[in-house]
Amino acid sequence: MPTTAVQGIGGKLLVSASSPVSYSPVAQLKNITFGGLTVDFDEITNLDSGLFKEWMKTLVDAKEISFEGVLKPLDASQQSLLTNIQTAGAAALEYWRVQLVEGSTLDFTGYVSDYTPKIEHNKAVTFGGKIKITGGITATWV
Amino acid sequence: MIQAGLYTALINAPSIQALMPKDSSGASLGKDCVHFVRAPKQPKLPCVVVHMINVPPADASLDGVVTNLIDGEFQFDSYADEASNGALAARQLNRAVRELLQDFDGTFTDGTVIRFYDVSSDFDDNYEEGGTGFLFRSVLRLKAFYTEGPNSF
Repeated sequence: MPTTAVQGIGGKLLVSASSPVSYSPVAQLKNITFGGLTVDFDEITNLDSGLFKEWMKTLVDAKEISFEGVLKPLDASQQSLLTNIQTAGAAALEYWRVQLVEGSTLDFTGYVSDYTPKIEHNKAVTFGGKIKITGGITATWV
Repeated sequence: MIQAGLYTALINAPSIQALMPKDSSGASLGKDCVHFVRAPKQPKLPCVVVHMINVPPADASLDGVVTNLIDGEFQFDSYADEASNGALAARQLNRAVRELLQDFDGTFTDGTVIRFYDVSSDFDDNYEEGGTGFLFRSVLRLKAFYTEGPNSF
Protein backbone atom coordinates (compact mmCIF):
# COMPACT_ATOMS: atom_id res chain seq x y z
CA MET A 1 0.00 0.00 0.00
CA PRO A 2 1.49 3.38 -0.97
CA THR A 3 2.31 5.80 1.81
CA THR A 4 -0.07 8.70 2.23
CA ALA A 5 1.53 12.06 2.91
CA VAL A 6 0.45 15.67 2.99
CA GLN A 7 2.70 18.40 1.63
CA GLY A 8 3.45 21.42 3.78
CA ILE A 9 3.21 24.04 1.05
CA GLY A 10 -0.27 25.49 0.93
CA GLY A 11 -0.68 25.20 4.70
CA LYS A 12 -1.91 28.33 6.43
CA LEU A 13 -2.20 30.05 9.77
CA LEU A 14 -5.45 32.00 9.84
CA VAL A 15 -6.77 34.46 12.38
CA SER A 16 -10.11 36.04 13.24
CA ALA A 17 -10.28 38.91 15.69
CA SER A 18 -13.84 38.15 16.79
CA SER A 19 -16.63 35.58 16.85
CA PRO A 20 -18.41 34.53 14.66
CA VAL A 21 -15.13 33.82 13.02
CA SER A 22 -14.06 35.24 9.69
CA TYR A 23 -10.57 33.91 9.12
CA SER A 24 -7.81 35.66 7.21
CA PRO A 25 -4.43 34.04 6.47
CA VAL A 26 -1.17 35.40 7.81
CA ALA A 27 0.84 35.96 4.63
CA GLN A 28 4.14 34.42 3.56
CA LEU A 29 4.78 32.01 6.42
CA LYS A 30 7.61 29.53 5.95
CA ASN A 31 6.73 27.12 8.76
CA ILE A 32 4.31 26.54 11.62
CA THR A 33 5.30 24.44 14.63
CA PHE A 34 3.15 23.25 17.51
CA GLY A 35 4.82 23.19 20.89
CA GLY A 36 2.98 20.03 21.83
CA LEU A 37 0.24 19.40 24.36
CA THR A 38 1.38 18.32 27.79
CA VAL A 39 -0.48 16.98 30.79
CA ASP A 40 0.11 17.84 34.43
CA PHE A 41 -0.24 15.09 37.00
CA ASP A 42 -0.58 15.15 40.74
CA GLU A 43 1.01 12.30 42.65
CA ILE A 44 -1.51 10.51 44.85
CA THR A 45 0.71 7.66 46.01
CA ASN A 46 -0.20 6.71 49.56
CA LEU A 47 0.35 4.04 52.16
CA ASP A 48 -2.16 1.77 50.43
CA SER A 49 -0.58 2.09 46.96
CA GLY A 50 1.70 -0.89 47.09
CA LEU A 51 4.69 -1.13 44.75
CA PHE A 52 3.71 1.42 42.06
CA LYS A 53 3.28 5.16 42.24
CA GLU A 54 -0.17 6.51 41.48
CA TRP A 55 -0.98 9.70 39.59
CA MET A 56 -4.06 11.80 39.04
CA LYS A 57 -4.37 13.63 35.76
CA THR A 58 -5.05 17.32 36.43
CA LEU A 59 -4.59 19.88 33.65
CA VAL A 60 -3.67 19.90 29.97
CA ASP A 61 -1.53 22.72 28.56
CA ALA A 62 -1.74 23.30 24.83
CA LYS A 63 1.38 25.47 25.11
CA GLU A 64 2.35 27.65 22.16
CA ILE A 65 2.67 27.45 18.43
CA SER A 66 5.56 29.17 16.74
CA PHE A 67 5.96 30.31 13.15
CA GLU A 68 8.43 32.01 10.84
CA GLY A 69 7.74 34.02 7.72
CA VAL A 70 9.15 36.26 5.01
CA LEU A 71 8.53 39.88 5.95
CA LYS A 72 6.10 41.80 3.71
CA PRO A 73 6.00 45.22 5.36
CA LEU A 74 2.75 46.51 3.83
CA ASP A 75 0.76 43.34 4.47
CA ALA A 76 -2.07 43.89 6.96
CA SER A 77 -2.05 40.31 8.26
CA GLN A 78 1.60 40.60 9.26
CA GLN A 79 1.10 44.07 10.71
CA SER A 80 -1.71 42.74 12.89
CA LEU A 81 0.74 40.50 14.77
CA LEU A 82 2.55 43.52 16.18
CA THR A 83 -0.76 45.26 16.86
CA ASN A 84 -2.07 42.25 18.75
CA ILE A 85 0.99 41.81 20.93
CA GLN A 86 0.67 45.45 22.02
CA THR A 87 -3.02 45.13 22.86
CA ALA A 88 -3.70 44.78 26.58
CA GLY A 89 -5.54 41.96 28.31
CA ALA A 90 -8.49 39.96 27.02
CA ALA A 91 -9.00 42.31 24.08
CA ALA A 92 -5.97 40.63 22.50
CA LEU A 93 -7.60 37.17 22.50
CA GLU A 94 -8.11 36.00 18.93
CA TYR A 95 -9.42 32.94 17.11
CA TRP A 96 -6.77 30.98 15.26
CA ARG A 97 -6.83 28.16 12.76
CA VAL A 98 -4.03 26.06 11.30
CA GLN A 99 -5.21 24.65 7.99
CA LEU A 100 -3.40 21.95 6.06
CA VAL A 101 -3.43 21.97 2.30
CA GLU A 102 -5.86 19.03 2.08
CA GLY A 103 -8.36 20.82 4.34
CA SER A 104 -7.77 19.50 7.87
CA THR A 105 -7.99 22.21 10.50
CA LEU A 106 -6.84 22.82 14.06
CA ASP A 107 -8.80 25.58 15.80
CA PHE A 108 -7.93 27.33 19.04
CA THR A 109 -7.92 30.68 20.77
CA GLY A 110 -4.78 32.47 21.85
CA TYR A 111 -2.67 35.55 22.24
CA VAL A 112 0.29 36.62 20.15
CA SER A 113 3.06 36.17 22.69
CA ASP A 114 6.20 36.74 20.67
CA TYR A 115 7.16 38.77 17.58
CA THR A 116 10.76 38.76 16.35
CA PRO A 117 11.82 40.38 13.06
CA LYS A 118 15.21 39.15 11.88
CA ILE A 119 17.49 41.25 9.68
CA GLU A 120 20.71 39.84 8.23
CA HIS A 121 22.93 41.40 5.58
CA ASN A 122 22.87 38.37 3.29
CA LYS A 123 19.28 37.15 3.75
CA ALA A 124 15.76 38.27 3.01
CA VAL A 125 14.23 39.89 6.09
CA THR A 126 12.14 37.41 8.03
CA PHE A 127 10.11 37.38 11.21
CA GLY A 128 9.12 34.88 13.83
CA GLY A 129 6.23 34.73 16.24
CA LYS A 130 4.43 32.65 18.82
CA ILE A 131 0.83 32.26 19.90
CA LYS A 132 0.04 31.29 23.47
CA ILE A 133 -2.88 28.91 23.24
CA THR A 134 -5.58 29.26 25.88
CA GLY A 135 -8.02 26.37 26.17
CA GLY A 136 -8.10 23.34 23.94
CA ILE A 137 -7.56 22.57 20.26
CA THR A 138 -10.41 21.41 18.06
CA ALA A 139 -9.24 19.23 15.23
CA THR A 140 -11.16 18.48 12.05
CA TRP A 141 -9.40 15.87 9.95
CA VAL A 142 -10.27 15.27 6.34
CA MET B 1 17.26 41.85 -18.35
CA ILE B 2 20.14 42.06 -15.93
CA GLN B 3 22.73 41.03 -18.53
CA ALA B 4 21.98 44.24 -20.44
CA GLY B 5 22.45 46.30 -17.29
CA LEU B 6 25.67 44.55 -16.31
CA TYR B 7 27.06 44.91 -19.81
CA THR B 8 26.36 48.64 -19.90
CA ALA B 9 27.76 49.18 -16.42
CA LEU B 10 30.99 47.38 -17.29
CA ILE B 11 31.66 48.92 -20.70
CA ASN B 12 30.91 52.45 -19.50
CA ALA B 13 33.12 52.39 -16.42
CA PRO B 14 36.24 54.54 -17.07
CA SER B 15 38.31 52.32 -14.76
CA ILE B 16 37.51 49.30 -16.94
CA GLN B 17 37.72 51.14 -20.25
CA ALA B 18 41.26 52.13 -19.32
CA LEU B 19 42.29 48.48 -19.08
CA MET B 20 40.63 47.30 -22.27
CA PRO B 21 42.42 47.06 -25.63
CA LYS B 22 42.42 50.15 -27.86
CA ASP B 23 41.89 50.58 -31.57
CA SER B 24 44.37 52.37 -33.82
CA SER B 25 42.93 55.75 -32.84
CA GLY B 26 43.35 54.97 -29.15
CA ALA B 27 39.64 54.48 -28.48
CA SER B 28 38.69 51.74 -26.02
CA LEU B 29 37.35 48.51 -27.48
CA GLY B 30 35.61 47.76 -24.21
CA LYS B 31 32.23 47.08 -25.84
CA ASP B 32 33.83 44.13 -27.65
CA CYS B 33 35.46 42.81 -24.50
CA VAL B 34 32.55 41.99 -22.19
CA HIS B 35 30.92 38.62 -22.88
CA PHE B 36 28.40 36.29 -21.26
CA VAL B 37 29.00 32.57 -20.67
CA ARG B 38 31.94 32.39 -23.09
CA ALA B 39 34.20 34.59 -25.14
CA PRO B 40 34.30 34.20 -28.93
CA LYS B 41 37.29 32.56 -30.60
CA GLN B 42 40.31 34.82 -30.84
CA PRO B 43 38.77 37.42 -28.52
CA LYS B 44 40.20 40.86 -28.03
CA LEU B 45 42.11 40.80 -24.74
CA PRO B 46 41.91 41.66 -21.91
CA CYS B 47 38.24 40.77 -21.62
CA VAL B 48 35.61 39.88 -19.03
CA VAL B 49 33.29 36.87 -19.26
CA VAL B 50 30.26 37.01 -16.97
CA HIS B 51 28.46 33.93 -15.64
CA MET B 52 25.26 33.75 -13.62
CA ILE B 53 26.19 31.13 -11.05
CA ASN B 54 22.93 30.87 -9.15
CA VAL B 55 19.98 33.27 -9.14
CA PRO B 56 17.19 31.82 -6.98
CA PRO B 57 14.48 33.86 -5.26
CA ALA B 58 15.64 35.32 -1.97
CA ASP B 59 13.03 33.28 -0.10
CA ALA B 60 9.78 31.34 -0.43
CA SER B 61 6.85 30.57 1.83
CA LEU B 62 3.96 28.18 2.51
CA ASP B 63 1.86 30.39 0.25
CA GLY B 64 3.99 29.22 -2.65
CA VAL B 65 4.86 32.85 -3.21
CA VAL B 66 8.36 33.29 -4.53
CA THR B 67 9.44 36.87 -4.18
CA ASN B 68 10.74 38.82 -7.16
CA LEU B 69 13.74 39.64 -5.01
CA ILE B 70 16.61 37.50 -6.30
CA ASP B 71 19.58 36.44 -4.20
CA GLY B 72 22.06 36.08 -7.01
CA GLU B 73 25.69 35.14 -7.46
CA PHE B 74 27.74 36.22 -10.47
CA GLN B 75 31.17 35.21 -11.66
CA PHE B 76 33.43 37.59 -13.55
CA ASP B 77 36.32 35.91 -15.34
CA SER B 78 38.96 38.45 -16.32
CA TYR B 79 41.19 37.13 -19.11
CA ALA B 80 44.48 38.46 -20.41
CA ASP B 81 47.27 37.05 -22.55
CA GLU B 82 51.03 37.54 -22.47
CA ALA B 83 50.82 40.42 -24.93
CA SER B 84 48.62 42.32 -22.50
CA ASN B 85 50.84 41.71 -19.45
CA GLY B 86 49.43 38.30 -18.57
CA ALA B 87 48.43 37.46 -15.04
CA LEU B 88 48.92 40.98 -13.76
CA ALA B 89 46.60 42.42 -16.40
CA ALA B 90 43.96 39.83 -15.57
CA ARG B 91 44.31 40.69 -11.89
CA GLN B 92 44.12 44.41 -12.64
CA LEU B 93 40.89 43.96 -14.59
CA ASN B 94 39.48 41.75 -11.85
CA ARG B 95 40.16 44.47 -9.30
CA ALA B 96 38.53 47.14 -11.47
CA VAL B 97 35.38 45.02 -11.77
CA ARG B 98 35.40 44.38 -8.04
CA GLU B 99 35.82 48.05 -7.14
CA LEU B 100 33.08 49.02 -9.59
CA LEU B 101 30.48 46.55 -8.35
CA GLN B 102 31.20 45.31 -4.83
CA ASP B 103 29.46 48.26 -3.17
CA PHE B 104 27.13 49.12 -6.03
CA ASP B 105 23.64 50.02 -4.80
CA GLY B 106 21.41 51.43 -7.52
CA THR B 107 19.57 50.82 -10.76
CA PHE B 108 21.13 49.45 -13.94
CA THR B 109 20.15 50.91 -17.31
CA ASP B 110 17.82 47.95 -18.00
CA GLY B 111 15.77 48.78 -14.90
CA THR B 112 17.27 46.16 -12.59
CA VAL B 113 17.38 47.45 -9.02
CA ILE B 114 20.43 45.86 -7.46
CA ARG B 115 22.53 45.90 -4.31
CA PHE B 116 25.76 43.91 -4.18
CA TYR B 117 26.46 42.62 -0.69
CA ASP B 118 29.27 40.08 -0.68
CA VAL B 119 32.49 39.03 -2.39
CA SER B 120 32.20 35.25 -2.20
CA SER B 121 35.39 34.44 -4.10
CA ASP B 122 38.41 36.19 -5.60
CA PHE B 123 41.41 34.29 -6.90
CA ASP B 124 43.85 33.81 -9.79
CA ASP B 125 43.41 30.66 -11.82
CA ASN B 126 46.21 28.65 -13.40
CA TYR B 127 47.29 29.77 -16.84
CA GLU B 128 46.06 27.87 -19.87
CA GLU B 129 47.75 27.25 -23.16
CA GLY B 130 45.94 29.23 -25.84
CA GLY B 131 46.31 29.04 -29.60
CA THR B 132 49.25 31.41 -29.76
CA GLY B 133 50.44 31.69 -26.16
CA PHE B 134 49.35 31.54 -22.56
CA LEU B 135 46.01 32.76 -21.27
CA PHE B 136 45.55 33.98 -17.73
CA ARG B 137 42.30 34.20 -15.75
CA SER B 138 41.43 36.01 -12.57
CA VAL B 139 38.13 34.95 -11.03
CA LEU B 140 35.74 37.10 -9.02
CA ARG B 141 32.39 36.06 -7.56
CA LEU B 142 29.94 38.64 -6.22
CA LYS B 143 26.58 38.22 -4.55
CA ALA B 144 23.72 40.66 -4.95
CA PHE B 145 20.08 41.14 -4.11
CA TYR B 146 18.17 42.43 -7.12
CA THR B 147 14.78 42.82 -8.72
CA GLU B 148 15.25 42.31 -12.44
CA GLY B 149 14.14 44.76 -15.11
CA PRO B 150 12.07 43.85 -18.22
CA ASN B 151 12.92 40.59 -20.00
CA SER B 152 14.59 42.14 -23.01
CA PHE B 153 18.12 42.73 -24.16
